[in-house]
Amino acid sequence: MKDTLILAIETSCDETSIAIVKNGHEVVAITILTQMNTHAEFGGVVPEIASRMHTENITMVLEETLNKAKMQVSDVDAIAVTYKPGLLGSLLVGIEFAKVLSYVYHKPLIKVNHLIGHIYANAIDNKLEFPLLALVVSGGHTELVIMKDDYDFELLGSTLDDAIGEAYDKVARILDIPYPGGPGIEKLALEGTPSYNLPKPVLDNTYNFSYSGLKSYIINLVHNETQRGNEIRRADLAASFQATAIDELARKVDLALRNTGIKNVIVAGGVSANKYLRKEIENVANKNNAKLTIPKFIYCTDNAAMIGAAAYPLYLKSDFTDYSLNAESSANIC
Amino acid sequence: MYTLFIDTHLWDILVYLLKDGKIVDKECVINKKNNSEYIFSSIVKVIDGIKLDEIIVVSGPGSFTGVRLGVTIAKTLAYTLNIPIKTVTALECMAISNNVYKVAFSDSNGYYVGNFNESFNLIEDYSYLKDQDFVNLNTNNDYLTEYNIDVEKIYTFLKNRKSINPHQVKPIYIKKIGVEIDKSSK
Repeated sequence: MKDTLILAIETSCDETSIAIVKNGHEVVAITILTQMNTHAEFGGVVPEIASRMHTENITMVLEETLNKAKMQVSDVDAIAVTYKPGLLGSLLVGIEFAKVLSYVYHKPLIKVNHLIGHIYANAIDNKLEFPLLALVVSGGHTELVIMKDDYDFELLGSTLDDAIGEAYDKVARILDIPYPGGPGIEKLALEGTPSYNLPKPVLDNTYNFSYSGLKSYIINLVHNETQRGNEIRRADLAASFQATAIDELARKVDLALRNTGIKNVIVAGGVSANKYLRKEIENVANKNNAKLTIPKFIYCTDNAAMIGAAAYPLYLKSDFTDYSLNAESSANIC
Repeated sequence: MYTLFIDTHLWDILVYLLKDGKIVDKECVINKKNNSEYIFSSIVKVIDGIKLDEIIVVSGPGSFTGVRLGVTIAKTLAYTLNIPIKTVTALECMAISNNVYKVAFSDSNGYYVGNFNESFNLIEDYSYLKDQDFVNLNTNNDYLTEYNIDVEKIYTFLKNRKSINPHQVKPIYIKKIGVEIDKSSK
């Protein structure tokens, strides 16, 4: 069978990324231009600045990717672009850019859900084996999903309030950890022990999660201790938060694997770069004799390769879109 | 010689095709708030089947998203088709089209203001004024505030303007955003 090359574009937040992906599995070339240092100055992503930087850089990111691949746009079979969820202004830059490429080079245009992209990051250098259990953990989502086939999703459970990544960011803020907070907490936690006694999130046997109670408890704890003039053991608190938040994820993954008998588990989303999480889920997978797949670090955070991987099954189904494509700020997997 | 002119700086989408400086086709979508669903479709209607030689894009100021989408499309077209691209500001368009030197337009929160000399060179930086500040500035009513443009005149004026490397094309915004104001007040 002829190889399929997809040129994929990702601009949903603060990374301008373009990749060329072969057959949904092999990354021929990828460029990821991160704006993290610019936004760090403001303590978080400034949407208007993110959009501006995408417009300034996107043609250069394309050129660099083509140079790395030693290819022309005319060599690829389709153009894929993230259209939801994300920052509207940022998504729109990638979308309009993709429309021009699709038009000039007469290539079909494929729209990709960023969250599904994170799941398909696991298809890079790998083959997804169904049925599988996907744990999706990011700044906006905490979900357990069963996949019986490509693009066949069934939601088992999700967060009832804050996403785990959001809880990381808020706790980082209260502990004065600079943006980006997630990696900051992870680093600080390594220096501490989980010696704070924190409330466990939702101790039930559903597949749902809840992180707002844990977050609020920590905010109150820090305020109260500070007012009393007591010292906060920052590293210990970071370690305690991380252990509580992630142990709950691991417990629910364990529950789902036991109850469904599924033997393949994947982790997807930005928080999957967290080493403590990787270790905990690995333990749960081993215990259940399940095969665990976690993307390489580079494909855990936002990148265009995962968009190319997620576009491949849509290409095979000729699931194409047209120039009326618009961005959507929010989305679910299913 | 075909020139594509794109102006999406406010809520209208204005797309013109010129042949040797004369308008031969146009597509105008009025007050669509620069919806992504319409901009590129409007451009395709005008350029389909045409071998473009050059692009002129209005680089702002105006609606941040509107300007950004017009500029992103224009620079990507110029880059992929490997043709020259020139930028012109919305305030230059007003001045050149109407042969006036004091121009301003409202984005419904305030006014973008431009002051030019007889050669349409800027005599001071563009500014963005609150409505009342602009009313105070314009007590003699000497500013043109209606956005009417003559694309053929603009084309002729830009004949001597150098084209830009598409990578370097970026919008001008003028109006400060929240974090810029916070930063400057610190």
